[in-house]
Amino acid sequence: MSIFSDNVVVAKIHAMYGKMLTPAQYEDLVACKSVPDIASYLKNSTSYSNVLANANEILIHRGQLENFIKKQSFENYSKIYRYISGSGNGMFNMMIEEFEMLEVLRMILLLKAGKADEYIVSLPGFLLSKCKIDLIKLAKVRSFEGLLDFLLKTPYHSVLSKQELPKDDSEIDYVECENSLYENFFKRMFDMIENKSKRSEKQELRRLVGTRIDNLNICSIYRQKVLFKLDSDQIRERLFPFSKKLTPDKIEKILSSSDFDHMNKILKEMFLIDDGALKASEEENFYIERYTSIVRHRICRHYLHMSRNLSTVFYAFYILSQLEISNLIYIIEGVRYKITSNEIKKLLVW
Amino acid sequence: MAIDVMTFVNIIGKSSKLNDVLLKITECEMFHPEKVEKKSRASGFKSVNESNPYVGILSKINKILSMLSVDPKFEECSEVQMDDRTNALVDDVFSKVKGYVDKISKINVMLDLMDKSLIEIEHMSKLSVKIDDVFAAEHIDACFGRMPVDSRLKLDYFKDQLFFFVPLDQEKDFCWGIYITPSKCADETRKCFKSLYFEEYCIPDYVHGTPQLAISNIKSQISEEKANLEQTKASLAAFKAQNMRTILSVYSKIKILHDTFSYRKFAVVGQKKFHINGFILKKDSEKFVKMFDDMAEVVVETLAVEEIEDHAPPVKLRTCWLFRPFETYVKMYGLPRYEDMNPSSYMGLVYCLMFGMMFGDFGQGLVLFGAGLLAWKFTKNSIGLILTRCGASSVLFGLIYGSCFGFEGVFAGFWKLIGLGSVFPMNLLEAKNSMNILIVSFIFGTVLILSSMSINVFLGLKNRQFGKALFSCNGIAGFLAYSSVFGAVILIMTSGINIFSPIFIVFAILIPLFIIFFSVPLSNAIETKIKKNKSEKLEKFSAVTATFDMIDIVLSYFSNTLSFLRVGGLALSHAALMLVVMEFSHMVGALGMPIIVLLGNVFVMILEGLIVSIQALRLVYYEIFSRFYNSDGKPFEPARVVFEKNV
Repeated sequence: MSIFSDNVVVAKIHAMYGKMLTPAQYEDLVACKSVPDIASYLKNSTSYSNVLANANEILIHRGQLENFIKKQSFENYSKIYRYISGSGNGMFNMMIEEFEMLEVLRMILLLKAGKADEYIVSLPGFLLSKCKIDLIKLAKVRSFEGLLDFLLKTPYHSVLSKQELPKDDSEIDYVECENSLYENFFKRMFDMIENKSKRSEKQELRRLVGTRIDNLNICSIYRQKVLFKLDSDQIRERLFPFSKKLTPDKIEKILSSSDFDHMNKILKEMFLIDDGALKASEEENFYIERYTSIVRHRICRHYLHMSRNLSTVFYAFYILSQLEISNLIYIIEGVRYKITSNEIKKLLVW
Repeated sequence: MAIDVMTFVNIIGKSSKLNDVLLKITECEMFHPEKVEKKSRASGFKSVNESNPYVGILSKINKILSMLSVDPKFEECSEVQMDDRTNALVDDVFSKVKGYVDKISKINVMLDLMDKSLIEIEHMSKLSVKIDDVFAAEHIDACFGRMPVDSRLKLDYFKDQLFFFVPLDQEKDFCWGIYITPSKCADETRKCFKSLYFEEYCIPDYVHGTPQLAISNIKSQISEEKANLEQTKASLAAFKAQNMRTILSVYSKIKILHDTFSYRKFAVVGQKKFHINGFILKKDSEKFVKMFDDMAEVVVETLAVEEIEDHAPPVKLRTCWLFRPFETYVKMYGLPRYEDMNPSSYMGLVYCLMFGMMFGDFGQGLVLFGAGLLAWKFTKNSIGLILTRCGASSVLFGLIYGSCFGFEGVFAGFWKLIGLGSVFPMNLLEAKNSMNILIVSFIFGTVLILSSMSINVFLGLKNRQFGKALFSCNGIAGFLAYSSVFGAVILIMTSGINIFSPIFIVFAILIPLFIIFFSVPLSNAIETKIKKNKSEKLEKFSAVTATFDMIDIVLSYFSNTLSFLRVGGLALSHAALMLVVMEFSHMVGALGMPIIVLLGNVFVMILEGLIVSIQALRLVYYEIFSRFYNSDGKPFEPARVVFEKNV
């Protein structure tokens, strides 16, 4: 496909980006009093009107609404995919792989919690025909061992089978599973990037994916140090090896921090200096996930506007759409559980 | 350029006569009531603070009018008496109308439900068995509804469960169908379908037989209900036609009593007397006083406005018919004070001149004139009349520029005929004329600023505000400094004479600026000398503030004058836009030319018309009004009963 047709698809992605939710719409959504209010607003005042056209916004269930939202994003990617033949193809396949991997991880989480039978409720139906593995069969899995049997002929088997088989499913090391699967996923992602022919495309994708890995590593360090109180060696073992800007020195600096305040300070400095994405006024109420998301959001927005490479623009759009979905899920759950609008806003990224 | 002269009126009489006096006042619509100030009251007089007894009944009759979709208006009501009979009549009419309206809304709700059911049952139309048979089975449970298409794909997961799902219809994202399960498994199956976001639809009691039969039954029931609805509406319409005049008469009576009562808040009462005061137009004073001749226990006293200290008189603008529509723009900015002048005519003249200069096209001016007339005829909006004046001005300047619908150089014969062929028409796109129009705009702006300063001086002297008239940046000092600088610049531009000598600069520019700098102490000195009231707080002088003010004043003299260059600029842009239109029209050939010329003219008229209107208004508000105009006036609003609006 010629560079000119790539430009057409890039323009199409820009148009889709233009239909994403605006800060004013987020304000309106946060001000909603109930899930039906949110559904009604999305149906009548946003680009989700299409997917919600026939939905009964008064009776709609929270999970159903979330599925509709995810479906809309997925339909957007599929619309783009129709026009991509060469350069962006790999990225779309990686996206499907990630969805598939997330489904496997969701099943592992439910197995650990002993609630595998609930898997079917949140299974996004639109993925059934797209994923390589049979998600209906996956939904019938009732043990970790059964899961390994089911995944026997898939790339996930070799990754998960390295783990020691737990005596009881409640003992599954979910973090380890997540790390191994993501590591494998990122490895294949970088292989795909290295096969690209354009230098600028490679650089941009490396930066985008690298930043995502940096953010995941930072969140991981923060969570393991603050919440699980693991020691530095254990934390180091669970970090992804493909960091972009998070050099070993920086990792050591974070790991060596004496207390939480000190670590917060280092992380804030790192964000302010390295990415320049955060304003001093945003330093209060430090939520690590929010800050990593802000960094990701700004970098993706930058590449969406500035890049001329279809793969980069597509991937940036994909990440921005995923951020929008998380925003909407935060809002839906926040409103459902009567969280104040100010508290919900602290979790949103736009 | 006038404001109507007012007279202050005191009305004093027996308390029992207050309602009659208020009725006369609201009927004549001449009296602008004002609250009686405490120091004007006799001892023992207190404000009337009563709740309006007509609020409840007025609200009821307003509801009747609203339910009947009748616009409230006046109807002769002299024979209506406010007694128990009228109250009973209102209650009776209200209950009857409400009865009809409730019945109509009930039928509408029923129709909505049946429409909805019809849509739902239509999704079942593939089902060939009787609906009752399906749902009345003893050992099986059936449930009709829809679920997302995605969920249907997940049905495979439940294939071991004891149920089967019969898809009946599919729309964009949803699949309609019926699931059937043994009664003993009903709960479990319901749980499964709940997890698939299955939305259950209840089949209404009136649905029987096969879906096809049910559809035809519902359709016939809908027709019956519609006929019933029409019949009820016809009954209501007949009731309305029969009682309309009576209802409006009663409404008018209640509205008069309600609104008149509401003016009691302006009165004070005490010692079995009342006192109310306000303003009337001086020309109406004799007629107004005579109205109370038949009321022996009521005294009406008129006083000249100058004798009143407690009340600022209201303002009623009086403008000649030609510029009366521009009162709208003046009111948008705010009314002038009673002691100032009515700027409508001045504004109208300046606005029309600027509009014509910027939008000079004979043909387009005629179209604007016609559009204005039509707008006035159909909407009665004063903007329509403003458009006619602006259109006339465009016609005049179109003659001067020799422009008609973008065709330049026309009317040469006309100008030759009156002996001005060597000067006009003035094609703006010629280089010398382009420069000339900018110079004319500059001079025009200077003259307007000077005339605004003159008005400020006149008003200052008239109202004995000598500081404002003599020392302010828009007073005599400002006038001297500004006219000296810009007069000299204009002399250089037009005739090449340079009068900037040291003596001229010192006496005509620096000394006036020096006076402006010290305007605060100078004003204070003069105010203290003239006014006896020493307690009035005087403004404090600060050298720092004065310095910054001075910089601002000098800069604004230049920026405000240059601001008028837009008049010439927009005149040129209008000509240039029309040139583009004409060029396009030549490119498309003889057939397309009229279409392009027509579309181009419409486009330019809308675009330029809007820009020019806004720019002219901006120049008037910012560069002219800011020099002399105080918009602190309050409007003259005589007491009256408003029938047209619901309260």
